[in-house]
This record gives sequence, C-alpha cells and structure tokens, in this order.
Amino acid sequence: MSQNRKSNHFPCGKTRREFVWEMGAGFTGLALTSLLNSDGFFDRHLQAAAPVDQQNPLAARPQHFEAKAKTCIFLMMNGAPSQVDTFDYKPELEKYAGQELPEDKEYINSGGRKVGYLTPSFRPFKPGGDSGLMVSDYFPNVRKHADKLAVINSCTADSHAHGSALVGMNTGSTFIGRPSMGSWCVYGLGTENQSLPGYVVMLDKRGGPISGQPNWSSGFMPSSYQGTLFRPTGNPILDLEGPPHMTAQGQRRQLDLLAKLNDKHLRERPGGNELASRINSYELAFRMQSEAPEAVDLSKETQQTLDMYGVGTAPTDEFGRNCLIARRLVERGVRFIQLYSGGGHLEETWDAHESVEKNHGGHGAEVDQPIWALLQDLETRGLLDSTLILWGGEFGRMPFTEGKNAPGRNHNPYGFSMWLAGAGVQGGMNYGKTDEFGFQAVEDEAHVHDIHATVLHLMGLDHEQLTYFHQGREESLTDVHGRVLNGVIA
Amino acid sequence: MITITTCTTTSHVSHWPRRSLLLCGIFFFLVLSSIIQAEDAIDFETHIAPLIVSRCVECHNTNEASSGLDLTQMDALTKGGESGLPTLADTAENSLLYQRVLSGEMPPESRGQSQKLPEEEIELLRRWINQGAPWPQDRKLGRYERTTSVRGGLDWWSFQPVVRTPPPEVTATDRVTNPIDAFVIAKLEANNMTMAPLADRRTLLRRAYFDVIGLPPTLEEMNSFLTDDSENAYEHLVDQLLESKHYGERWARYWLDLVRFAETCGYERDQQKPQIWQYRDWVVRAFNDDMPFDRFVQHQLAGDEIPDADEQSVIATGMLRAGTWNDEPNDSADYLYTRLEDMVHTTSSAFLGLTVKCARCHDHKFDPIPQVDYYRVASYFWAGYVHETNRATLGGPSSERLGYEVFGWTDRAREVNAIRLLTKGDRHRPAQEIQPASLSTIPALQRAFDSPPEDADTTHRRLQFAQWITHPANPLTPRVFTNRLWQHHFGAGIVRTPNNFGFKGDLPTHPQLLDWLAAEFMEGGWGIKRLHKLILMSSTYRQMSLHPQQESYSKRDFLNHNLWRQNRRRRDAESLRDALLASSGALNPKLGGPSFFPRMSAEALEGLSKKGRAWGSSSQTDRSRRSIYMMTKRSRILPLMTTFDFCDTTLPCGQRDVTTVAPQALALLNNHFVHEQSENMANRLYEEVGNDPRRQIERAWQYAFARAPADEELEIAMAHLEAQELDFGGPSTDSSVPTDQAELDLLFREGLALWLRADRDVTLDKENRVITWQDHSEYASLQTHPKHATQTIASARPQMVPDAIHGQPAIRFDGGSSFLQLSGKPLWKPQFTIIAVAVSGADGGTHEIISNWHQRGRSISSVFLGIQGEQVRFSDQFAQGGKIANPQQPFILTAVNGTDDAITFQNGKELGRLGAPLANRDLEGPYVIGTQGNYGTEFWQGDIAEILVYEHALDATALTEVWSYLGQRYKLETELPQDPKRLALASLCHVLMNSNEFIYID
Repeated sequence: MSQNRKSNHFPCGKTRREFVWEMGAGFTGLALTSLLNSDGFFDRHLQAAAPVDQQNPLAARPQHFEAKAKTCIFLMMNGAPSQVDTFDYKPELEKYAGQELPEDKEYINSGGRKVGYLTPSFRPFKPGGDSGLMVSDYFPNVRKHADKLAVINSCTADSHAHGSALVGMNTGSTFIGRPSMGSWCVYGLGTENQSLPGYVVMLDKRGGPISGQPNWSSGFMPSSYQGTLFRPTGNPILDLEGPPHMTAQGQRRQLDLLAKLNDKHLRERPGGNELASRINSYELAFRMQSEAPEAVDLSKETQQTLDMYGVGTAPTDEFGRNCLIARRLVERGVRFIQLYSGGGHLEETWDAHESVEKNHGGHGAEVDQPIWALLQDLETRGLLDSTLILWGGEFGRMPFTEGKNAPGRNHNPYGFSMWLAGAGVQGGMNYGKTDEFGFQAVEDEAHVHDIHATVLHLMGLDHEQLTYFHQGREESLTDVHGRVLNGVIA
Repeated sequence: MITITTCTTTSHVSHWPRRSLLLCGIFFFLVLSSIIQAEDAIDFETHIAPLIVSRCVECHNTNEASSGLDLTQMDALTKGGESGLPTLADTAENSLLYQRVLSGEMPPESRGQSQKLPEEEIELLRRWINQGAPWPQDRKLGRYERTTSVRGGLDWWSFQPVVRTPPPEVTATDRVTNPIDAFVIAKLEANNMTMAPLADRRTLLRRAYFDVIGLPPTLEEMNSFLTDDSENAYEHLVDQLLESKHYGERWARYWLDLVRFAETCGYERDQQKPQIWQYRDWVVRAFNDDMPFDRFVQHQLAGDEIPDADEQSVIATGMLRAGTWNDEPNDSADYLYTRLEDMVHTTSSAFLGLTVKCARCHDHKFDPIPQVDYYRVASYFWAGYVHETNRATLGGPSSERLGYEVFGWTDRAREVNAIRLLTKGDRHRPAQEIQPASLSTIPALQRAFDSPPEDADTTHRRLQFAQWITHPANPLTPRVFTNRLWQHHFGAGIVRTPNNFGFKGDLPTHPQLLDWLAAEFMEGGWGIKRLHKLILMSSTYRQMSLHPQQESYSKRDFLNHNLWRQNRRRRDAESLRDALLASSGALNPKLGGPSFFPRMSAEALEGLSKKGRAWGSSSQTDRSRRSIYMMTKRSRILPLMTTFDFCDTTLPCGQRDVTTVAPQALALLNNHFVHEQSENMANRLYEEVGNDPRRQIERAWQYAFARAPADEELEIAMAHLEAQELDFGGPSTDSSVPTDQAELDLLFREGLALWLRADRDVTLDKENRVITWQDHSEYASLQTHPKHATQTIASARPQMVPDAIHGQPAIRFDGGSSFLQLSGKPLWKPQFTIIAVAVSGADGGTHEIISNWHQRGRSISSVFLGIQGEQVRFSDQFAQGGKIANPQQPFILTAVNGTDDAITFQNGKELGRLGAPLANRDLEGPYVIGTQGNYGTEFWQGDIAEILVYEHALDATALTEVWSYLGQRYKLETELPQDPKRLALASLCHVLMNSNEFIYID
C-alpha cells in the first residue's frame, strides 16, 4: 500500500507528530533515516529543511538556503516602548503639539483611557553614526551603533492589549496555543550545542510577561521546541541539582548503576533504539548539569567586560548580566535567545501610561548601555556577523498623551518601531514610515508576520516552506501571510 | 500496462466494494491510463468524468469558475470562458481545452512544478472530443463526487457505511482468540509474517495495569494473578481492571486531551473556571459507569437539552467551556468567530475525526466539506453564549440561566438571530443566512434541523447535532472512537491520524478490522468496556513486544503496520508520575473533587506575570493524588508534565508526542518530587521488610518492575547500597537559601490548627507592642476558630521587633510579665505537633513557649513546651526532653506527640524520645503564649517568630517540608534526620525509577 501511495505522490506530508509516535521503537540517525526512506517516508516535501529525528529532535539541521545568521537574540521590550520617543523621529509633532489627533484617524482606545493632545518626544532626537540615523536620548548608547541598525518604523500588530499582543509578537497569532518564533527556529534548524537548551528565554526579575508560558510555547509541536526559562545566576535551568546529600560522586554511582541496569534491559530487547536514545540522554543530562551553570558563571569575564555591560552597577546590572549571558550563549551555540526587559504589569514594564519620561527614562537607563555593550562585544569577537538582533515591544504608543497635558501615552498597534541588527542586516537605515504624527504606518507596512518572515529569512529559513503538519493543515509561523522585508537585508 | 479491477459505476455516489474503493479512490488515474485500448469508444463516466473532476473542477466549477469557465456541465463547457473562444470544437486540435492541456498550460503549474497531464489522459481527451465529446443529458459533475489525486470526495473511505465483514480464514488458527486476531493474522499471512509469541504473565500483568488503570499492580495483585493457575486467570484480571475505579481516571485523561481541557481561561488574567473540575469528574464517572458512548456524546453536546437533563448532564456540557477564553480580545466582534472555531474544531475532531475548521474561510481543500457546512456547525454554538463578554461569568451562561451552580453551556434562547456565512471568513463580508443543518459530508444522513419544541428554551441544535453524530448510520463516530481505544491499547491507531479521518489523514492499516470493531461497538449498545475487553483478550494485544524475527521484520515493516508485535510504549507524563507515587507507597487514591496544586518551585513560577500570588497550595496528602487531579493552569503547567510531553491545552490533542530529550533525564535525576518518592519508597521498604538489604532490594524490584531481581542485579544493587551509605555517612545540612523570600510558602498545611507568624497580621499599639497576633492557619472548620493571640493589658504586651532573626520580625517577650492569650484552643486530638521558631535570651531558668497549664486540676496533665536551662520540656511527663544546643541562637523547636512516641527536635535534629506517647493530656484551654498557663511565672525571655500547631503527628516527610520552609525563611541551617542507610536505599530506588524498565512498558 505504501508503495502505491508513494508512486501516487500523495500530497499529505507525513508529519513530525505522526513520525514521533509511529517510532514507538525508533532508530537513531542514519539507520532510521534510511529505513524510513525505504518506507517511502520522506518522498514528500519536507517541512523542516532536513528530517527531524525524534530521538534527537534538537540536532542541528541545515538552513533552507545560505544565510549568515546562526543565532537570533530577541530583545523584547515588554510593555511596548513609545516609537515617537525612541526610534521614530517626528519633528512635525512639535508643530502639532497641543492639538488633537485628527478625527479621521480611527483607532481603538485601549482600556478606554483618557485622550490628550499630540505631544512631541519627551527627549530630543539626535543623529548617530555616519548614517545620521535619528535616535532619541532614551538610547544615547545604542545610538553609537546607528550604522548597524535597520529601524523598521512601519510595524503593525493585531492587538491593542498586552496579553494578546505579546502572544502575537511571539507566535504570530494573538490567540494562545501556537508555537513561538524561537520554537520555529529550533524546529527548523535544531541547535548547535546539545548540552544547553536550543531556545533560551530570560525574564525580567519583576516577573514574566502577561499570558506567561504561551509566549514561549511550542504550541502543537513537541515540547522539546519550547523556550527554556534561564536564570542569570546559579542554576540557570530547573532540576540541575539533586538534594544536598547527593554528592557528585554519589550521583555518578547512580548513573553507573543505571547504565548497568539499562544495558541488561537493552540486551534483552534487541533493536530497542528508543531505549538506547534514553540511555544517551542521561549522559547528556549529566553534562548539562555542569555546562548550564558554567554558561551563567561570569567569574571568568574580565572586569572590563563586566563594566562595559554595566554588571554590578545600578540600574544596568540585571539586563547587563542577561546581555552578557546572551553573548556567552551565542558563543556556546544556542540557537534562539530572548531577553525580556520589563516584567509583571504596568510601570514595571515599558507600559508608560503614567509618564513616558519616568518610565522610559527608567527602563531605558536599564537597557541602553547593556544593548550597546552586547552589539559592541559581539562585533569585537566577530560574532555579530552570525548573530541577528531584533529589538522591540509588542506594539507602540500613541503620539498623543493619556489625558490633557499628562505625561503618559496609551497603546498603539497601528504603527510602531522595531529594529534589526547584525547578521545579514543593512545598517544605518529606516524602513517604512508612519504618518506625520507617528500614529500609523503609511509606507511599507511591516506587520508582525512580515517581521517574522524576515527574521526567519535572515536565519536561512523560508517562512512558507517551514511548515508543520497539524490537524489537516500545513501550519507555519506566518500562516498564509508574511513577506520578507527585503529592504532591510544587506 | 497495469491492470487493476475496473471501477464500474453509474451514479456519482459510489457503491464500490470496499477493497476496490480504496484503490479506486486513490489510484484511479492509473486506472484511466491502463484500461483503454487504442480505438475503444470513450465512456464518459468511466473515462472523462473522473479526469475532469480530478484535473479541472477544483478551479473551474459553478461557484468558482476560474476565467469564467465552468467545466461541470455541458452547457457551460460549450459556452466557454471569458476568452470567448470555444472550449470544445469539432476536432480536438481546434479545441481550446485540448490545446491548453496539450501545451501543459492547464492545469497550471504548482509550486514551480509543471502539472501537465500524463499522455494517456491527454489522449483520452483528444479521442473524446474527436468522438463528439459525448456528455450525458443533465449530467452535472460534482466537485466532491469522487476522490481525486488531490482531494477526497464523498466516496472517501471514512464516509462510507460501516460494513461488517466476516472474519477471514487464516492458517494460524491456534492464535485466533477472537475475530480481531483473524483480521490481523490474515494480513500478516498475506505478507508472509507471523505474530510474535504470547507475552509472559508478568509482562501481560504490567501491560494491562498500565493500559487499563494507568497504575502498577500492588504486591497482592501481582501475587494473586501470578499464582492463579485457572484457565481464565487473565480474563479475571481484565474484568477486575475494567471494574476498578482507577480505570475511569486513566481513560478520562485521554478524553480530556481531546476536548482541550484545562482549568483556567488563559491570557492575562488566566482566571480559574469555577467547578470545571466537576466536568473532569463527570468524564471519569462516565467511563467508570460504562456510559454508552451515544449518551456520552449527547450529554456533552446537549446535556441541557436532552429530555432527562439534570445537574450531571449540564455539568457534561462543560466540555464546550473547557477551552481558552480571552476576556480582552482585540476586537470582541471578531473574537466571537474565534470562539466558534474553537467549538466547531473541538467537537468535529473529537467526535468525527474531521477537520471541519479548515472550511471556515473557504471550502475544505481536501475533504468534501463545503464552507457552508462549517457555518452549519457553527450555528449550533452561535445560539449559545459565545457573544458573552462578561468577566463575571467568564464568557458563558450564568448559573441562574443554567439552573445549577455548575460550569456548563446552554443557548441564549429558543430562537436566535441567524448566523451568516462569511465570505473568506471575513466578518465584514457577511453572505447568506445559514439554516441549521447537519454536515453534508454523508449525503444519506444530511438533513435540515427541526425547529425546537414549543416549550423549549433552547434551539435544540446541539441536541440534533448529537443525534446526527450518534445516528447508527453515521460511519465516522464508531470508527473514530474505536480507533481511539485501539490506539491507547497499542500506542498507534488502526488509523494513525486519530483526529483526521479525511484525505490528509492516514488510511487504516486494517480497514475491515476497524469496521468490524465499529459494528461490534454499535451492536453492543455503544458499550466501551465491552470493546476494551475484546481488544484486551485478543492474541494481537497479548503478543510480546519482541519478535523472533525482529531484525528482518523491522526492515520490512519498521512502523509495525502489520501488528507483528505489540508496541513498546513509554509512560506518558501522568502514568509516569502516578507510577512514581504508587511505587513509593505515597499514592493517595482519592477519587474526584477539586484539583490539587502540585508543589511548584519559585523558579518554575517565574514565568508568571504575577509571580507569587498565582499559585495555590495543597496539602501533602492532596499532592500525592493522581495526576489527572492536578491543577492545569494555562499560563503555567507543571514543568515535570510538559517535559514528558503533556499536551498543549489550547487545541484538541488526539495523540501526544513521545520525545526523548535530556531535560527528561534531568527531571528524573534531580526533581524534588522524584527524590521525595524515592525516599518514600525507601521508608516503605524499611517498614515492610526491615533493615535487610537483600529483602529490601527484592521488594524494590517488585514495586518498580513487578519481578524479582536477577542475581547480577542483586549483586550490583547491594554494592550500590554499601557505597552510597559510606558516601552519605556524614550529617547533611540543608542550607539552600532561596532567592526571593516572598515566594516561600508553607506547603504542608494539612491539620494546621494554629499558625502565628510575626510577619503577618500583627496589630500593634503606639509603642509597637502586640495587641493581637492573628492566627494565620485559616483553619476555620474548628469550632474555636479564630484562635488569635491577644493581650489587653498594655503593660503585659510583648514587643514587635522588625528585624529579629536574619531580617525576619519576631515578638520579643521580656521574661517577666509579657505574654499572649489564645482566644481558642488549638489542640483537640491526642496526637499533635508543635513547632516554634524562637531565641532564648535567658540565662538559665524555666521558660515556656506555649502552655495550657491550669492550677485547678491540670497541673500535671497540662500540655506545654518550653525550656529549663538547656533542657527541653515537653509537658511534665517529658521534662527531660533533650538538650537544646545554643538556645541563644535562633532555633526551630519541634515537639511531636505520636501514637507510639513523643519526640523533640532542634533544627531538624532529634533531641530526645520519651519511648511512649504523652499520656492523658488535658487539652482544654485557655492556652497562653510566653508563660506557664495561668501560673503567672516561667515567662519566656527572648523572641518568638513563628508557632505552628498541627492536630496530628507529622511524619518525617511532612516535618522535613516544614523545617525546610522555616529553615529557608529564617536562614537557619537545618539538620534533617537522614539515616545514611535509608538514603542509600532511596538512592537505589531512585535509580530504579530512572531506569528504562520503569519508564517503558513492554
């Protein structure tokens, strides 16, 4: 039967999900692949660029096409920074200051908050680098890298509410339950270092993002592709250490006994390759126990490096530490890293309802130097050529204030700014435009799907080809949408 | 030329014999290319209709006539398309249709690949046109009339009636236990294969327990089966297991996956859905009571509409409300349609194995499900509270509307406004109104829905949907469900895409067997247990998971499509956790009720935007319940569960992933829960067989693997015990200090009758003296609640000290006059535990922490805990309660009065044992803190930061937990009572729990 179906080019891509369970008695590596090939398993188009081995789902896989980026760092400004106060230079707002947004501009007033007057940036913009790219004084250090940034000023999102917009920015859908961008990357590319998670998420100490886990979920894909929360000190991941009485030697003894029992068990069950895989996973776990803490151990970093990132100095210590760890993870071959700035709710995030100056002043001071240092450090070490950086929040903010003569701004998904830097990115440029108020994307709109398509593209993945068959449908990060923003690509 | 049975059909609905149906459905174009000899006359139905349907009408049909060309009927065809040129002509060469096909322009290329027709087909067209393009009068080609190479039609196998074929004749009759085996063996024999030998009893026992109840057998159960020599011992076992109340817990879980069950709404607030656990209990009970499947369906879809609706059947409709709910969607008018999709998708995939959701924006791309069908199904739920945005009712009907205090579903009214089909799924492009009707996929069953009865207050659409689903002529329902049962007994279904029986799904490996089972299922009155038993009794099920020809069979049929062996299976997240609990002896088998919160480390809670507040606490006993009772909070699922492939809770899941990744090994190696269970198991072994390593090992093997250890295993296990004991010899300290104090929580609260903590609920006077120290135990069930500690006399009030013990506050007693009086009595039962965190500032003398001493007749029988010099006093009877070390340093003093002993501890280290319990204590109040009852003396001098009183004797595990909590809170090093022998045994148990034999079921 399968022979016939094969010859008939049955269009149903065999799925990884089916793959997984059909492999009740899996084989590893080549043996498996060749057996399945002979079974007509891979003759249809492959979703990931190469077969995914469920016994080692995170094994590195080739890109769809040659691309520079091997790693992506997503600097998530949780709570939504204001574009007109950071990267979307709108001198016209000076002219309109004190006026209302024209009535023909339609929008949802998120949370039914007060509507004030158009208000120019709370801090001045200045040109940076040779390109003269305009960046405000909330990011004076990042501005030094202006020539590396492709600022996308025309971003749009599908929700004005944090909970769904965060999920949207991470997964492409404002409804929970879909795999996040990091999951798609590790599904498509695997990861280089099997002793560390392939997809790492570092949260702000103040809390996780609204909606929690679905922000780094693998959705309908196997949980091996979900983001792993990583803490910046001590044991970065869960379950690295047993109870206090269990010495390293004691555990080694346990593993030796386990190996003996498992060997006997396997001898009695020839061909039990899933059993062999599990045996291997214990050795890997043993290595993770030492390598994961080592990845966050900054004691070997020079004082100069620590100072550069602002480690040990308020207010940069936390985010600086995370950025430095991100660099260490890049060096160690982690595929996707997401750092959150802002956690919990309201002013603990970039959600500047009360005061842009107070909020962005505070959060900006926490992240500006560390982000500068990260770009600098990656460049110095020759890693920026293979590392893609994405910066932004889940949406932007209104060009008018929240209440008359009030200093805060409400949510705005109609036009906001994100930027890309690093591998494959054209630096020193603005892409797309908002209207004269900085309210709404009017030129080269870059929807969240487009951002996702572009990130995947820069990682060597075709967002239309990278699909996962689920419930009768080839699912993808960008669904039926998304276009690569060629203008930002070097 | 290949020759395959010619498909002969005259009508567009197929009545082909099943076997050839499958072939024809999928390979028909081979047929086309093979059966025509050079100059035969062309037959429209045999040659042309299939060709046009498969190659052309996807784009050229009446609704969607690409370039204005409709190829489904002669009139339209001769009329031609927008180009104005004749599609047909007197000769093929002049025909536009032929030209386009010949040039390869049509069908258009797809994904860069030419779709040019094979020459045989082009030739067919040429000859057909040359023969005058005969087209039967009024014959209109249906887009769905037959399966083509790119999509399924109405003739797709799963939509055809269930046909009960007699079991085939086979050679290996000795292996045929029931008809299941005949079907399986027939296929094996056709492939020159044989079944694997019968599994041995031990393997069968373990497998059956795992499959049917999801728990390992107890020792008694093991012995009773293994020593039962009767012929029907196995059948007895199967019957017993199916009658076990744990059967429902096991099988309900699979159903909960299908209906995307979780107990919160998801999104920002992730509200807990009140009483949704009752739905979970309803499913467990339905399985345990062997509720017929047709009723099972009807209750969940329409428990509010059925004639005998009651509270339970309304609870069953909780299925429709178990999904996510966003209380702050971007656009609530759009969100309404998202909710509808959730309900359409959940019901159609769970009951029908169809992907109806794919037809939301357009006709289904692969199955004969027109877009209108999607809206027909949506109309059933449209009548309900999908429009509701009220946070108070979490987007559903109120309990007043439901008539019960439950979390169920119902319609808004008897009549509701009509739903409209949305062009391209766009809310802003409403098209025709939809009349509620069944799906059209099974034409024989298609019907418009009736209006509800006059006295109804709902639309009765869901009821009619349920009736349609469970109509005996609906072939999908019994096939899909029997396939699910099969899947969970074999690890793979007969159809290996359990939620998709459409064109994109897999074909059945054993179609006749599937139909035979489906027919049995319905004829047996939809009884589920009966079907289980059939499967469990079959030789197919009872095969070994290893075959003598393993290697060569693996090469021929790697995925075991032929069922030449049973599949080895890894335990799923629930059965793994449950097996850990069962082996350790800690399993609490309590059935039903509200869910428990597992212990979640502060690290694991970090992902929540509201860290500390969002997680509840449950008692140790509750936390030892089966996994199905674990709280599933959508924003945070216990990492142990997701690591082992617990399914995503937003979409229906018919089949979990089975991955093998290092974090699973890390979890089993290091997770506190696993260690806790290995320690429980060690304690259990000590209790059961005493300090005899050989017997401990033998029994450990029984609990973990249901077998005795081999000699070599016994040997290495003994060596392990010795080596580990030496290693664990020294006293161990638990000095782990948490990163965030606020996240610490006392998890063991069972029987916690009094809890005074100086950082909470203390009312002070102007001079920071304590007026009231409120009881924090929330133990309101006792009559004497609350039991606050108060002092009305200002001069006798102790002082609050904000930073007394490593940053934590404490109440400072002056040793001369200050004390507090409890407003109620904390002790009721003869067994109890008192734990206090204190510092003594006294230089000798007698001082009390808590006491009910009373001069009138209770001087000797009173209960108190205090010190005299360095001696702990636990009532008069145990006045030599052990020497306390450094009482000037903060300490945790514990006094346990159990059934056979009274014991005291300092910082977890045992101080003294009485050798017998405190006898005949008078537990009456009043109780005081910081002095000896009403004696007016023996005042405490120093700080008391926390007092916990439990109305039972805490066991070692509970004590460890409380000490660990207090130790972390006050940054005190606790020496937990760790006997190296026990730890070594726990280490061995831990290894067994990590072993492949534990995790995999043969």
